[in-house]
Amino acid sequence: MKKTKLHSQHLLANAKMAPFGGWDMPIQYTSIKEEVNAVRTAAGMFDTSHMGIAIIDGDDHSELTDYIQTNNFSGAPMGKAVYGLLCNEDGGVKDDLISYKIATDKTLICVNASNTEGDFQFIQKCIQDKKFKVGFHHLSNYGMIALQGPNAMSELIKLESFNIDAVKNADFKKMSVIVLGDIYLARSGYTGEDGFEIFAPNDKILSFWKSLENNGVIKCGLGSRDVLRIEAAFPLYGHELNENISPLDAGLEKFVDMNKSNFVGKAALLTRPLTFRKILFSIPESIPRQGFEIILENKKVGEVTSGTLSSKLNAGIGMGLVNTGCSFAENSLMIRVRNRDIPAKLHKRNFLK
Amino acid sequence: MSNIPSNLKYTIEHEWVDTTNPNVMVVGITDFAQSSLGDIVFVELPSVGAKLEKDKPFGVVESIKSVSDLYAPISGEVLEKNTQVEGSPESINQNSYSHWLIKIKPSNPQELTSLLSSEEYKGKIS
Repeated sequence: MKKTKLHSQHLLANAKMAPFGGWDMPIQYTSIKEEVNAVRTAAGMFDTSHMGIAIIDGDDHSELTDYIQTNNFSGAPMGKAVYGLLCNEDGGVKDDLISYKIATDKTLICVNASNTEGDFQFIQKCIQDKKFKVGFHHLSNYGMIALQGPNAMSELIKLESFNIDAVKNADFKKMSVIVLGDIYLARSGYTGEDGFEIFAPNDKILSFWKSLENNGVIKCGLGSRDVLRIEAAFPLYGHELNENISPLDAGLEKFVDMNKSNFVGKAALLTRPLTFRKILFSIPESIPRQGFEIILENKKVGEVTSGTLSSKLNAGIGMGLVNTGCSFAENSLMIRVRNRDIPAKLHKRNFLK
Repeated sequence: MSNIPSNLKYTIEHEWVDTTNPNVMVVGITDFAQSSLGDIVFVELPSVGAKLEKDKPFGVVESIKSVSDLYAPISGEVLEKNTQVEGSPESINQNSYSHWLIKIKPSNPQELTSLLSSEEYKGKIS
């Protein structure tokens, strides 16, 4: 199993470890609830070095980035972070990714750990087939820390590398990136809170981690990260997204630019019928889990894709996909939890408000 | 290291059984089980009077990350369930041996021989 540069730190901290996407990763350090709370009320940090990071450079870097994913990258301003989907030719989702416009001749991309190898092979194939003039560089000697929470900025600028005007500048908005030598600092995350993702060579990542730890930032594992992203209603590959679901099925149409001249999967998306509709729901006194059935009038009409317990709502919360063929009233869906059907309360957008 | 009291019996499904009173078997989950699960947030127990069959699921323990079935260590009738742990399941994380889940009246005392000693259970989890 692969180990990040911070692996020994996790063991020293006595974290509960588990395999994730081929990596041995920390699930929790103390308690998932406390780690969620730290990110919602102060600041927490995650080792996200397992994610796949690459740089695309050369004349066609922008054209390639537009070709491999659904969102409009070439039209985005310098320093922008663009969320998009990587589709197969049928319009099914292979992965989601963020593309960062780090220079006029360079794109930084970040993909999911479990899909890194497949994604990078797919991109290499696109480069060959379409003869894009680019270089593709997997930054395998880089690591990544996500520093998240309302105090993320004040914790970040305690670190020498980041106590500079460029970081504190009012133009450094959400979903943007700045380049500090060999460090890429993005104001982005996966928690629904303000925060940063620091991409840096492994030795720097280790030193940032130790400094943040000394300054009292709470170490958070993938367990709390999952609760935070479900509360924020962010999709996760293998749950809300897979190759049988189109970005439109997943409710992600605002990240699909059908006006772009071409991208992999576009032709299929033009004609592919909608199969699913995404719902957000809560249920009292139970935790919905992936695979649980969504029931309407005693018939299965969909499946839960993710679920967890939200201490914020003091309820089980989840996301699910319901067949487009079925119409239902506001309070008519039930979630089948083992042998009981529990009425689902539907939510809009996310569980944070 | 997991705490494994020597006065109790165990199952490979990480439950403990206090067999002191031959008519009333007290059942809970082991320290190893609570620690593997992490923060326990829900416990679902059978009703008093329910008939349990050895090795069949009788309830559920859930942490934020996972769900685990509880398997009946022996066949019998549920005499009592611990409503206090249903109300505050996190107490199992504090001490899984002082927070029992159910009490069973065994219907087939011979099944008791299939339970593991503390030494045998220790061997299974190390």
